[in-house]
Amino acid sequence: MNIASVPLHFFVLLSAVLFAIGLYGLISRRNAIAVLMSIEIVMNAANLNFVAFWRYLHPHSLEGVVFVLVTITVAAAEVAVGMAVVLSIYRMLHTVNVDEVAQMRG
Amino acid sequence: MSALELALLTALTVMTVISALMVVAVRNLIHAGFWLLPFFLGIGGFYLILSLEFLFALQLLLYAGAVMVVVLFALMLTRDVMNPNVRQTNRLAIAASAVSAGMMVYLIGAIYRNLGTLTLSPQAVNAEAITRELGKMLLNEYVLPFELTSVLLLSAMLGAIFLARSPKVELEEEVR
Repeated sequence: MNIASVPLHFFVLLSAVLFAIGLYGLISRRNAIAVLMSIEIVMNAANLNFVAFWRYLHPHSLEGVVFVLVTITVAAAEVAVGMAVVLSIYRMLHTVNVDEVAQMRG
Repeated sequence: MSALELALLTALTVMTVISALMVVAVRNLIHAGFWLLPFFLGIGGFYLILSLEFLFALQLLLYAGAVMVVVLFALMLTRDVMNPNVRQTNRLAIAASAVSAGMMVYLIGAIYRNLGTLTLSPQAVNAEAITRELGKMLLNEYVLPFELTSVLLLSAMLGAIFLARSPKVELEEEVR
């Protein structure tokens, strides 16, 4: 697809909308796994923004893409550790609702 | 922009936004987990439009493959994720929609105030050359972040195994 006719503000607007959707899920969900899913939406919106600004402003130096590569890897690590924490909490307290998990001591 | 391109772009945008909405809104969390798939694919489609084929492949492998599977597994190992009688939003739901709608209006307003600087047309790039250059950069200028990322992944893997394993007592009982 030819990108020349898609303006930069289209991508910025889209990632603003996706960020707001993810923010809603982040605040309103009860289940810790659903909160992590919303975080993934927010991170993907940020990645889209990074890549769009790189493509339109500095397409000949690849810093923006390297940023996104590192972000994707960190997100993968975050999901692995987050799920392990969630399963550990579930085994101890038999719930994964973030509003019922109120103690720091195991 | 031809009519076909416009239709493709509109379809991709609608798919991404609607699946993101479904992820945060549906009550059945297994369905929410599956709605992550069209969302990640849509973001990957935008990477393709921005001529980043390598990032598209990475998005498919890591997000649509690994992250979604891990999320679904974790959902299936916990309870009350498919029960239609269990509320999945907390008492902040109305406040959350107000906050995120306000955030969206603020961001869109900021974008429209700066529309002059944001209306750019991109330069042509060679998509194959981007992947080649990216490989070179990761092993020359950015070799330190690259190696640090592998250390991070290793420690995350060890940490996840340590956190998720059963307590020792249960293990011994299982052996007996």
